[in-house]
Amino acid sequence: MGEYVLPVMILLPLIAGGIGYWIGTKNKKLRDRFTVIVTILELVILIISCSDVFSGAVYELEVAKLCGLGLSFRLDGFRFLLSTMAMLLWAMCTLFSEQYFSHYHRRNRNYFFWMATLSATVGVFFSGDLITAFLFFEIMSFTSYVFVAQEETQEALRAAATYLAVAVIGGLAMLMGIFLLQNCLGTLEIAALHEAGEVYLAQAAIGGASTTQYYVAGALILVGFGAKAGMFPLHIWLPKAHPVAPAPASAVLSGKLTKVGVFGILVVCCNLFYGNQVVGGIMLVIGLVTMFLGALLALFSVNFKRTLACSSVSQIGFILTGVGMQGILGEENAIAASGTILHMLNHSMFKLVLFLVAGVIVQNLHALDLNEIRGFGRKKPYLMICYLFGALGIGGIPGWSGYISKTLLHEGIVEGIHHMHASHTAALGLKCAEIVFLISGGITCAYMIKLFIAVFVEKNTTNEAKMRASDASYLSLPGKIAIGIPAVLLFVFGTFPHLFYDRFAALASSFMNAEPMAHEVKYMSLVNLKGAVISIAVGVAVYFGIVRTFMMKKEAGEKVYVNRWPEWLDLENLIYRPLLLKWLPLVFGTICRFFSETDGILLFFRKTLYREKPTEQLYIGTRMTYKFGRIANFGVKVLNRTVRKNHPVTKDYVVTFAQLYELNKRRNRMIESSLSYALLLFCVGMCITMIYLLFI
Amino acid sequence: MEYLILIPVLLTIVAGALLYAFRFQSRKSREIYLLVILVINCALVWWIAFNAPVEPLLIARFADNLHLTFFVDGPAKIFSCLVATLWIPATVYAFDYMEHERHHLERGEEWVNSFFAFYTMTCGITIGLAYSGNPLTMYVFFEALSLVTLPLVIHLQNNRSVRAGRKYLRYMLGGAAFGFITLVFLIVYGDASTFTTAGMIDFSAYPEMTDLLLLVYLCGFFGFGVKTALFPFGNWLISASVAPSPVTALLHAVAVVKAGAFVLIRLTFYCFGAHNLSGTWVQYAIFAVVAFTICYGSTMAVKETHFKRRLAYSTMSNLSYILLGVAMMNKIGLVAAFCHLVFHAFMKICCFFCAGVVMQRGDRNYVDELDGIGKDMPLVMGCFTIAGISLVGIPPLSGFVSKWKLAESAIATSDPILTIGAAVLLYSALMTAVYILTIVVRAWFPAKGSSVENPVSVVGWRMKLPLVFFTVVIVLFGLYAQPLISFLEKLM
Repeated sequence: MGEYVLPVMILLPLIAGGIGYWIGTKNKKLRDRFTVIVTILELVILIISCSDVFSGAVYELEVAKLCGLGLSFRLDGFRFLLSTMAMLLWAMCTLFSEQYFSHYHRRNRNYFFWMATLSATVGVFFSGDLITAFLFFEIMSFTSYVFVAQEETQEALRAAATYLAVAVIGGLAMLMGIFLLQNCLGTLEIAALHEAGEVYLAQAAIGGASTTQYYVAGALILVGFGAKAGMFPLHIWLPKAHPVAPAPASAVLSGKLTKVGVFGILVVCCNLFYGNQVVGGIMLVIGLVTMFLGALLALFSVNFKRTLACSSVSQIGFILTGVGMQGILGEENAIAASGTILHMLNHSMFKLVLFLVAGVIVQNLHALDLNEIRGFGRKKPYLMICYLFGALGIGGIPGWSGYISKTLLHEGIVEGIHHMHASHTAALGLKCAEIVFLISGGITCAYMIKLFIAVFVEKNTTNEAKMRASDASYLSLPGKIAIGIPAVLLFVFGTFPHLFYDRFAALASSFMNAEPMAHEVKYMSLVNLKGAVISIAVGVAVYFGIVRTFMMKKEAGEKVYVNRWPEWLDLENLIYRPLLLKWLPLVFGTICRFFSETDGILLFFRKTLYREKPTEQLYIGTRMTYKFGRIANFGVKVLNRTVRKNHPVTKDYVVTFAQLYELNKRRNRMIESSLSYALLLFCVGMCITMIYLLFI
Repeated sequence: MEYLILIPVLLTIVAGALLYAFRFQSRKSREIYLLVILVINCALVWWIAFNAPVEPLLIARFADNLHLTFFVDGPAKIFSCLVATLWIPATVYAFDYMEHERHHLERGEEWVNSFFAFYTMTCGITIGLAYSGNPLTMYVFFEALSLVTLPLVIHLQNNRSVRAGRKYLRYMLGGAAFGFITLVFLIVYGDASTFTTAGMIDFSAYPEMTDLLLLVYLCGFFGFGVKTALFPFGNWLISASVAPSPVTALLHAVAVVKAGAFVLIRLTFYCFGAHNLSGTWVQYAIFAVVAFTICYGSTMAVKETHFKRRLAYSTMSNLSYILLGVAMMNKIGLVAAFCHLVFHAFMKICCFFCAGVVMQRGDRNYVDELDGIGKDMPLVMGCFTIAGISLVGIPPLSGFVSKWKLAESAIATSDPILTIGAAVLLYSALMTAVYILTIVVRAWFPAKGSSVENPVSVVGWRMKLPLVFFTVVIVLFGLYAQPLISFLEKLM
């Protein structure tokens, strides 16, 4: 029975979106309520009808021949967790939207695409093969474009264009990869990829065949999903898109759409490249770079939402680190796999809470610059607690859920170091990875402290009255519920890890071909706490050492935040845009311009070998024509002054006579050289001779 | 009874000629007359598709080897059904379009009348081309198609369209002359009585002439390929976009260019035989030209800013998608070629009709004038968006299915050079995304304060209905293309 729920769950939001659009043309309030109810209903249906996944059941459904290649759906523990989280996110954000969007135009459009994106996201998570995943992934990319462009300002459109370009290019790369993979393995079913891949590699090893196609296919699919996940160097859309998108959309983009990308990365890395140390190493390096760079960007940013967006990039880096460690550890990947899964769930909730807090700020102040919004959170204890829960979670403070997943990821790296004792360089590399991991964790703490102090501690001397104006009514009850629930969850999950998170991890680990963890991890042991303490210490040090000194400056007796990130250092403007918009068109344009006339080659010859003589020639004439011309010109001048005052003659007779002369000369030459002229002369001669003979 | 298959060929030709000879004075009666003829025609074509005679029908015998034959086999069924079906919505659209144009130009009813006469005759000739049973018959209809569409191209009767018409004729006749050489060789060296997948020429009988025969094939490929705007003979297509939109849509999407592609499929798979050609130098030669045309067309489309000319460039590249399937010379290639022939017909006719509406009713000709047009014409631009996204090849729309098949055929050759075809498809898809999405984004998300304030006049249902029909077909084929694909798989 449960398997038939899957297509229903995918179609329900889409249909509800259509109905909502229709309702919205009649009654806006009713539409908002309707959408909230549908999203909550969706969550409830999924949990009730598919609760068997907790006991290890897997639902599968194949719809052959549909969409050209057939669709296949599947629901197992991991997919269940991800889709429940997606629905929770959507439900909370929809709840929050009613107040947030109350001043927006074109809400109907927004709500429709909002629901369509939910349907596509759930579709990706439910997909049983890569084609189905690709189909819903593309739909998701296109429908979510509308959120980013919602405000239709210049920056929004520019960011949206970047988003679309990355999505389209990524999608095409992925399609190519899927295609090559289909050709290699003959199957695209996710559950069968691992085995088919091993068989293929074994056969290639025996036959001595090249396996390049296999790796290229995997890499292309990784590029496609990685672009959506925000993997370095394809993260460029994230920091641009978030500040301009509406807050609930940002929460969804960063909380869930990036996870769709990670889901795809996991499909590739844990199935195709299961236990492949080289790929694992590459993913680890990419993860570390993404993690560190994202954290650094977040630290430099002075825009509340941009900080959160960069933080998303950084947190994706944490997840990718886990993915990389799974590859390096091979069959001992239980801890790394658990860390990866839990950090995915965690990050969705952090970003839900934090972006909604940003939403509260925007809907009251319509600003996001830290200097303008500072002090907004004072005397708003509810908002402060919610933000704190999110920040403590993301910072990895013991007692909140971020600590659990970060500990597991850290443990994974430590385990890797133990494994690699044979190879000295590898162990050293992982040691470095651990250091980068801890420092990035520290920077995470630092930028969270920066936001906290700016919004909730510092006073706004210039605009205090405005800040206080909204103290009582800054957030409606549904909004409070929407922020409160995930905030509380973060605390509950973090305080009782064995009750929830260990089970979740066990439920999902089969997706990554990982065994459930052999023994319970003692989260509160001294070794594990040490990692957290180091991060916190680094964080505090960075905050006071760098943020308060280097990134703030005194202006009119008050310290203000300044953006110290060099303007030119922007991957998009430095490389991608010039490459795509300037260099590629230049090269192809030159080629095309050459061929753009059908007879490009003819044209080429005409300009080179068969060049014609210039037809315009200067008429020189003789002395006589010049003199006559001057006289005529003088006559005309006189006439122009007298008789033809109103219609002056503008002809230059010098040229005209010269022209006539040349024409005559040419004609004469032609006549002289012609046969008839000769005959004529002959005739004349004959006549004269005859007259002479006759008369003389 | 077997002569029944002549009716669809003759019906519309006669109906068009009658319309030209006896002009209708009233618009209404002309419209009813045309619709009735076309609906009967369409019904007949579909009926014949399901009850086709198995034997070729010999009409006339000029000499021992020169026959006029009609034969309704698999490809003929697909192409004739496609043409007969698309002609109805296209004519309905043209009613509205030409009426507006007539007011615009203050020309008489006569002008519209002669337009519809040639418009209708083209349908019969295209179906005749589809039903042709051997190269000679096909050649006759191929030439007739060039001639009958000429009055449509120059119909606006201004300098530009006359110039375009002259260019069009020169290209068409020149191409057909090359095709004629191939025809002669087919008749002299092969059994040119009926099309067969086995090929008409037995290559093994002329071992010393193989290269010459291949050269003759290449000659025919380029000659007939002029109609499919093969590089470097594609410029007529761009110039011909001065014609009224219903004509450009039909020329570019259905009749003329698709007839060219259809003839090339016939030439490759049914005259010379794919097994004779695959693996020879000629396969690489046509692959290179086709791949280059794909890249060239889509790149130029990105650079072009005129709405209709951009679509014309897009057509150029998409036609070569069909030829890419042909160039692969295997079974999947044939399936892919026909798939794209059918799907592209729907996608491109939809795009062109949308462009026609936008240009005529919205008075916008260039892409940068399209800011915010989506709000003025939501339905039209909605259809354009779906057709355009399908053109890019995004699932679950139909363009994805045919492109997937094309890539599959490229890989199936397991020839490293031919697999470049898959990469070419990828590049072209990217370019397609750029030239389509820039329009879509401008239409729906105008940058603030950049809207063009040209007045938008009302779009009638006769224009909207065909658009909706095409869009629905695009979506349906995307969701469930299986019947068509399994039919195509039985062809070879």
